[in-house]
Amino acid sequence: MILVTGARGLIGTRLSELYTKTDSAEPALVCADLLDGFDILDREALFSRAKEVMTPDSMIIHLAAFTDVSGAHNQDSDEGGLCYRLNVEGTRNVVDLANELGAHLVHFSTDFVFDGEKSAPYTEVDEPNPIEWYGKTKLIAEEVVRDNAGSWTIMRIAYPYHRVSGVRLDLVSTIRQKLSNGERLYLFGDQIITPTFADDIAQAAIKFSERRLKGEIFHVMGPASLSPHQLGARIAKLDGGDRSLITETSLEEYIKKDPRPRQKRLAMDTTKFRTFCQSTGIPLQRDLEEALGDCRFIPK
Amino acid sequence: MIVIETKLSGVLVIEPKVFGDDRGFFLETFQKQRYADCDIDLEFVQDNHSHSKKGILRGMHFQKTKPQGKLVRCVRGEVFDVVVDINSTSDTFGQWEGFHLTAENKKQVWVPPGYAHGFQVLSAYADFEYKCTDYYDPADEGCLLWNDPAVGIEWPIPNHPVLSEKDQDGLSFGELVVSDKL
Repeated sequence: MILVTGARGLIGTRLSELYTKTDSAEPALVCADLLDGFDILDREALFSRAKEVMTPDSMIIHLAAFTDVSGAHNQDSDEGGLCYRLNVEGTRNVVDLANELGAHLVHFSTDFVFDGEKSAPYTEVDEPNPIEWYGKTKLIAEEVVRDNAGSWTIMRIAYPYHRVSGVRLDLVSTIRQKLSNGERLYLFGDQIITPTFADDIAQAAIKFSERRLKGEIFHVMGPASLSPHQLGARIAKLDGGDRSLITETSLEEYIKKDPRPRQKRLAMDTTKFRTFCQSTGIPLQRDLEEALGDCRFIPK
Repeated sequence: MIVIETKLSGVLVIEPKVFGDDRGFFLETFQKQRYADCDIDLEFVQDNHSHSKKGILRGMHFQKTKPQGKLVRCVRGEVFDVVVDINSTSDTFGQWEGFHLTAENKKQVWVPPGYAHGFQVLSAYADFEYKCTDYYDPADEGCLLWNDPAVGIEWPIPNHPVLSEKDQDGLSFGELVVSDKL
C-alpha cells in the first residue's frame, strides 16, 4: 500500500482521484492527512496509526508541508514555529517511519530551495541556496531525507495548478477567476516561474513510488518557464478573456516596498524528468494550452 | 565578399564587397552564382521589407512544415539579429547566436531553413529587408518566446521590448519540443 501524507492538499487530492481509477490489483492508497487522524508531528500516534494499515512492501508519498510562503516569512528563523516543525520535524518523523517499516519514501520539495539569481534554468545538480524561511525549511527537509532515509526519491515541484479550481486558489485559477469577473489583474513581468499541472505531478508520484528510484532528485515541473504576466496573457487568449484587464507590474519595484525576499527567476530544467517519463510511458501535458484546456473552470 | 561561418551549422555572416566614392556607394546584395558558391543555392521566392521603431522586437519566427531560408540585412539604422537552432537532430539544437546588422556595416545573415529568427531595433528607426526561400504561410507559422530562459537570448534591450500580440504569446522552447510544434 501507499501511505500519502497531506493527501487532502492540492496535489494529494488529485493523486487520490487518479490513483483510485487504476485497477484493484494495485496496492491500496491510504490518505494519511491530518483530517484522517495522521498528525506527522505526533510521532507516537503517527507510528502506531501507520503500523495498523501498512504492509511489508509499503511506500510513503510525503506531501504534507507548511506551504504558505508569506506565513513562513512571519516565522523567519523560528525553529519552534509551525513551518519549521511541519517541514523539518514532520519530515524527520516520516523518514523514521519509512525506515522502521522499510518503506520507500517519495518526498516532495520545491523550486524555492533556489535563490532565483540564475538566468538559465536550474538543474538537479545546481546548488540550492534558499533566500527565505519556507525555502530554508524545505532544504533542511531535503537534507533530512537524503542523509537518513534508507530509500528515497525527491520530487521538486513549482507553482502547481489543479484541474478543478478548488477552495484554495492556485495562480492559474486566480487569474481565471479575476478575468471572468472582469477584475483588473496586476502581474509581474520581470519574474520567471514554472507553472506545473497537478495531474502531471500526481502521475509522476505514483510511477516514482512504483519504481523506487533510489537516491534521485527530479524537477517535476511544466515545460514552460515564463513571467506571471505572460501566463496571464496566454490564459486570457485561451479563454477569450479581456487582455486589457491585465497590467504588467515589476517585481523589482515591488521588492523596494515589501522587503520579503522573493526569487526573481525560477526557470527549471526538466530534462531528467521528461526523459524518465518518455522511457516509462507517463503521459504528460504537452504545453500550457493543453493543460489549461483540460482544466474545468467554475466561475464564482 | 567575405563569408564567415558561425557556431550554428549553415548560418553565415556575409560582408558584401562595397564600392564607395564621394558620390556614395554600390554593392551587389545578391548574385545567384556567387551565393550558390557559398552553399546558398535555394531559390528565393519572396522579398520582404519591414520598418520598425527603437525597442521593437519581432520574433522568434519559423514555419513548421514549410521552413523558410532567409537572407537578411538592415538597410536603415541598426538591429540585433538573432537565430535559434530549432532542428532537433542538430548538435546545436536550442542554441542561439546574435549579430549586429547596420545600414553602415551592410552585413547580411543567411538563415537556412530550420532556424527560428528574430531581431530587435537598436536605432531610432530601422528598415529590415530579407529574401525568403518559401512563401509566408500564416497557417504554418510558429513563434518561439523571445525571452524563454531555456534559450537565454541576451537581448541588448532586455526590458519591455515592444512586441506584437502574436509574438507575446510565443511558446517556450520546452513546449515546442514536447508538443511536436517545431
